Amino acid sequence: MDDTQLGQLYERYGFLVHRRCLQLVRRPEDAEDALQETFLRVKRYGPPREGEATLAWLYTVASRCCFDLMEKRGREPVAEESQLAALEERGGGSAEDADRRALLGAALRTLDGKTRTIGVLHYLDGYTQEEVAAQTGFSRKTVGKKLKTFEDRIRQLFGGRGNEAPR
Amino acid sequence: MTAPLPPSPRGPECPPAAVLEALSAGEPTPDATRDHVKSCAACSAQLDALTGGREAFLKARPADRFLRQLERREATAARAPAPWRRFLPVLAAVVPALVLVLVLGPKLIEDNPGVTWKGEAFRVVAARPGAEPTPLAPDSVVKAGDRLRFAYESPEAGHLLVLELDGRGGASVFHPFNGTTSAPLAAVQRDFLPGSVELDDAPGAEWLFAVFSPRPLQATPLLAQLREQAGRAEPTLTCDGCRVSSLRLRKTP
Repeated sequence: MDDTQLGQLYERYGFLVHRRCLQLVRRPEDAEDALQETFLRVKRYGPPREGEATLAWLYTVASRCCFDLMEKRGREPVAEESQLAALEERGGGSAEDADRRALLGAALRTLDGKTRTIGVLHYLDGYTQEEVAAQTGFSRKTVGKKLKTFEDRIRQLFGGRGNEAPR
Repeated sequence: MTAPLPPSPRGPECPPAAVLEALSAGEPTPDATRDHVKSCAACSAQLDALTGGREAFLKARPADRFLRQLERREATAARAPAPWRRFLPVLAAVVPALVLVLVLGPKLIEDNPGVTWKGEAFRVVAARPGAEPTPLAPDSVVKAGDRLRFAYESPEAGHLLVLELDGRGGASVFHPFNGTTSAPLAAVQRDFLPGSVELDDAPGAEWLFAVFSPRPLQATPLLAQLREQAGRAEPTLTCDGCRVSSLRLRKTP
């Protein structure tokens, strides 16, 4: 992909990809890093095909970059401030809810691929459990079970903030 | 105990956040969604916030500056010693073993009378009432009413479609069942995919295609390709950047 195409893609989607990275990695410097890595991978591997769901594809690449970054850094985001509350215009609930949302990336990092996919679709993409089931082909029961695992992990992380999560 | 992470509030008619985000980026969205957003204060406000956010973001981080940052990052990465060099001694030990596996592996799989994969780890079993599920090999005989289950194992995460071309020339999506786009697939997913599909009574050859891609896939162009090849002895699917596995079954009434 040449720089002109990449620049156009960035102008159209850069903000949303950066926002998604920030939701996952929380630290602004890490989000910047993940944003650059996402677009470098796009440059290397080429654009999506015409008619493809470009944003969904970019979100997939960005999520991989974020999880790779978290693995590389080997650290948990710290929930000392509610930056996510400002990011999520639709995010309701208390400041404590926002702190727990901020642990989303950390929780996802420690879970398996299936739970990650379901967690991202439900908590970041905003799909209901029924819609997640329809999109992924998993049963509604499986989706509910995986989200329960995910919520337990959040609860565990929230209870022991500042501690390194078991790997 | 309350849920530890309440999802974002969303009205019963409101689209998911991801759809509003796609709309803010100018991606095609159904008319009904656009109409709803116009008439819904919460969705309009969210769309405005996203549009405003994008403008502010680009003002603070213009595209030309971002492209220069990418160039610098690429140049730095090119100068850094390749991390794999540290693993040269390990590679020296592992590569011969890997060569053996690659040379002998396919032979071992051919000898296995169970499920046969063509190219990729695409597995299909047929479940019949009162019987154990049967792994299906090429040209296995199936019957109307058999329920098929699928598994697909890939070392990396991506997106999967399982398509069918039946003896009457009809093509449909088996996974996600009747879906229009591919379903996300986790890396090294060894379990069977959720759900099963009941075979109809279309007689003759029943072709199954598993299409794996690192990117989401639209089913429509692939189904059209299959329908165009109805009746051919060896229908094929082409899809850029995809891995396609196929399995032919024989359906009897």
